[in-house]
Amino acid sequence: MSSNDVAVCHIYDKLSSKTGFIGKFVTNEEISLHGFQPVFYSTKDAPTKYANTDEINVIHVSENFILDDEILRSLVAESCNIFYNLQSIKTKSNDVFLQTSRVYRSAIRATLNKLQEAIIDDCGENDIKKYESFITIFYSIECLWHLCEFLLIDRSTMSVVPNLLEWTKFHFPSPSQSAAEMLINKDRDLEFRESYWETVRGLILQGQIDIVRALLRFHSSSETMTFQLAEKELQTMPVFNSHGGLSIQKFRSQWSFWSSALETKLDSGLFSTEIELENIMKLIVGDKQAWMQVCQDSKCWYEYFAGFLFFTQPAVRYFELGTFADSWLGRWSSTKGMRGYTELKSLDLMVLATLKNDMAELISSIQDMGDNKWFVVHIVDLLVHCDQLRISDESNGPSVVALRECLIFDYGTMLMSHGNLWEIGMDYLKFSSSEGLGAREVLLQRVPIKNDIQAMKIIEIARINGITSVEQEVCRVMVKRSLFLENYGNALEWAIRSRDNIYVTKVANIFLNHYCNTGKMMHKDLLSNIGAKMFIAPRLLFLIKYFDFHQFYRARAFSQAAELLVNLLDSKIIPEFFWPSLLADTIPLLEHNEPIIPTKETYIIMHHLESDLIPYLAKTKKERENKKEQEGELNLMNACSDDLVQLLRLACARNLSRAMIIENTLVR
Amino acid sequence: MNSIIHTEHRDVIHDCSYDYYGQRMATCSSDQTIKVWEQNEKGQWIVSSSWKAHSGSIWKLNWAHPEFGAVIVSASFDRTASIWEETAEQKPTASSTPAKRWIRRTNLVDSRTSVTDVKFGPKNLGLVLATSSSDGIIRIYEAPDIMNLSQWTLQHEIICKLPLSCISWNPSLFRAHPPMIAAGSDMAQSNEPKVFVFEYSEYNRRWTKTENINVTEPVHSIEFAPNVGRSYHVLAVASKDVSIFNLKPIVEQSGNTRFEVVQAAQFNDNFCTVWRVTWNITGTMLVTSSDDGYVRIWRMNYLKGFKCICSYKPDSNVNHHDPQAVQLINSSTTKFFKKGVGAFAGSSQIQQH
Repeated sequence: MSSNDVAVCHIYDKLSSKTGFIGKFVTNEEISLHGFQPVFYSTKDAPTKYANTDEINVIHVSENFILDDEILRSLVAESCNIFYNLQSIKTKSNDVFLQTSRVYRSAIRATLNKLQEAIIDDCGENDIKKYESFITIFYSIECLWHLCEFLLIDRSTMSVVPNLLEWTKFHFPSPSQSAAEMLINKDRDLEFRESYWETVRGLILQGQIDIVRALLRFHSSSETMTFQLAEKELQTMPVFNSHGGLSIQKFRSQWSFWSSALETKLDSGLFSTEIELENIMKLIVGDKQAWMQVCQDSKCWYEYFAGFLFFTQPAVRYFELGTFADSWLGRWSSTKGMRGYTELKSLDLMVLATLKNDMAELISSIQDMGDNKWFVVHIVDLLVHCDQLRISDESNGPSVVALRECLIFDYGTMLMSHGNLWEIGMDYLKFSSSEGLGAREVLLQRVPIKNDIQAMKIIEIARINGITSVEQEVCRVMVKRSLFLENYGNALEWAIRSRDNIYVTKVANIFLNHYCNTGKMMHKDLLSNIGAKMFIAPRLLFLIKYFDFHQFYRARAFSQAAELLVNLLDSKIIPEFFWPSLLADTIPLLEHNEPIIPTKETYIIMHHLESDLIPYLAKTKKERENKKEQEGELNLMNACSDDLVQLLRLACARNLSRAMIIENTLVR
Repeated sequence: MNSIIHTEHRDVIHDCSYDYYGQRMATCSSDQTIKVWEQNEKGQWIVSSSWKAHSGSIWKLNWAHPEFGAVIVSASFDRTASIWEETAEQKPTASSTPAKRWIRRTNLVDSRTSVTDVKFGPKNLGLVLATSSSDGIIRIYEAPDIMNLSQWTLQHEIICKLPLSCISWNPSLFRAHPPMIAAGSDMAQSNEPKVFVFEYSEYNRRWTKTENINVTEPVHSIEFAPNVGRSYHVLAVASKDVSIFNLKPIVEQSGNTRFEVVQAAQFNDNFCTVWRVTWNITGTMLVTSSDDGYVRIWRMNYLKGFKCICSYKPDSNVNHHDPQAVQLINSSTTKFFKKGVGAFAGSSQIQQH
């Protein structure tokens, strides 16, 4: 594998030019480079010889990504829809493909219009420059797509020339525009305008005979013999129409008969009084001199190519087009004084490749258009769908299919690696290879989560696509992030969504600890709305039940509160650190004016007091002594432990005595 | 597009590590400091923390998966590996964003020699990490409580006999794949194999060597490719050249798994020693850094062959650094049907009518 033909990019970095680069991926679409010294197991530690000399830099290199521009983003979204529809189409008919192609093109044209408008709206110098370059790119794309559309996708028309003329007309609109303007104004002195004959000639070169005739009628000398003759000739000119019923041979003989007649008239000098008119007639009969003359004025090689075919090879087929294009181009470049194709612009070459059906060349060059491969992905996909993509140096079908998959994979992964377009990228990867399906999972996990809404969106897309692992991961990340920002309510919600016991327990502990320290419950609204989800983790269940207890207590429903509290004490889901707090809560209930807690429940309280609280207090006391200077996880209740035990014992004893008296009285 | 970040490290950067999303960067250097970077709204990289972390050169950094929080591990010549966690300081006012600070949660001091590499394991194993050191031992640590990063236990020590330079976890999250680690040695004076592959057996609760991969030249870097729906594993090895090995599991009759190791590709970087290999997220591209100072990007094509699509050369002459050339190269980073660059020198050439 040689790397000779590989592009080398020089990057300025003083240090690295001495040490060499080391590279790493930042994301799938970006790499980082920095200077580097090899380290071995035996390397001794010392400052390197570069210490405190040159600047130490890290350089990030990435492809210029244009598709996240506001205007182009809507094109990306729209083309994704068209792409998606095309993949799900069941009936493979020519009409469908043609329709799809037209929708794509109209999306491009709409984008071009929007870009123009943005420039007119004057959006700042940088943006204008940017939008102008976008227009250049997408104009070229439209131009090529249009060609591909009638040459490759639309198989209903046999004759190429009318479509080529149409295409030329669209891309060189100036003759039609000035003709329209002249016809609307209808002034009789048209010929005094400088552009009159230029326009007429332009129209002839685009094969717009009817408009030429209309313009000629406006000429002040239109009543003269010469003009009348020209009008007659143009009127009788045979026009090839593949649906017209005439066979090609018949048409050809008709055409040669007509044009030789015209040629005789030219030779006999019937038009010599009107030089401009004579010139035009010469073009029509294919006079070499006249055509070379117009080539001089042309902007690019294919401007008059269609017109030339119209008058010389009106019935040409697509497969013959390459030969004619080559010979025309040879003639064109010699009049222009060019040697070979080297001076041609890239768009010129791509048009040539399309006309010659050289797909390998076309696909290879349209990848460099600077559109982040938007064009190549969509056109290749469409051409593969309608089975029109033949790459000459590849022997058979599979490579074309693999090419399509590979392009979609690249495009999809690229979109997924760029902030706002990841959802669209998902849609593309769905239709790529099996690797694409795997990549979707990996890349979806790595979509940077900006906020809660985006996190929800990622989860939703993951669900739709059946990527189950993502939801829990996103939730856990959100828990950690909310905790970092001390947004505990959010953390609890995400923890519950994650259904991960560890995370829920962690967050619930924070709530309980906060209560122990401050005596206040955080996020009461949230806690009262958790409902059945509390069963996800025992700690959460405890938190919610304890919160319920508080609600009862505040509503002065003391007996319910007491019952719940005793249930909680017996529930075995109490976190150790919460014992002091929970038992302290029993004191006001035990000491209530009217006894609420019966004897049996009082025994339960006493049992937990002795078997849970006291060992816990002893343990924390020991820990505190061990690390006196360090501040451990002390909470308010731990601080006054001895008093608490005393108070509890007293309260229990008092309540027990009252409860016993009442219970025994009631029995009798 | 390229951006230059002036790190203001006082000595050469040994490692530059990116978090899971590629949005944060950590750099470490022989100046014994770690710097953590973030992008601001304009996309510029701004240093958010910088601290002296070790008493020796810091060789490697690695970010934990974000579901464990913002956690970095660093490996240093000072024989330790440290776990760092980002914490928010008390907010001065309710509205202001909390100040961030990295706190050393623990220091792993079991190695008696320089710690040459450290990597967090795949997240389905919990919070685990592996270190390799010059004494030839792989150590596997685990935080039993993922919410408490100050407690780590040394779970396993795997003795490899040769001094180790690099380590890589198999990132596969597929349940049927047991945990797997590969390590490489850059010992120069022997002809023994220098790449070892270990698998963890749940049944025996220990790591066992399943393969020696026959690379006899010193190995400087190894990395498993991300597993995107494959049944076999792919390992890239940087030595005197780059080798790609496919490890296909074969289940023997005894129930043990062994691997059929196939060298899937081998390519040289201008016949130079290769110092570093790294895969992209989807495992379709490889970046290699070699002794001629070049960084090359290799792309796997649909036939699983590798083709160099682009290379980067450091230049001391600022004039060579013309932005258009950079852009030209960049536009070709993901070429498939690439015939060579140059036909299209910037879109501005296209004629517009």
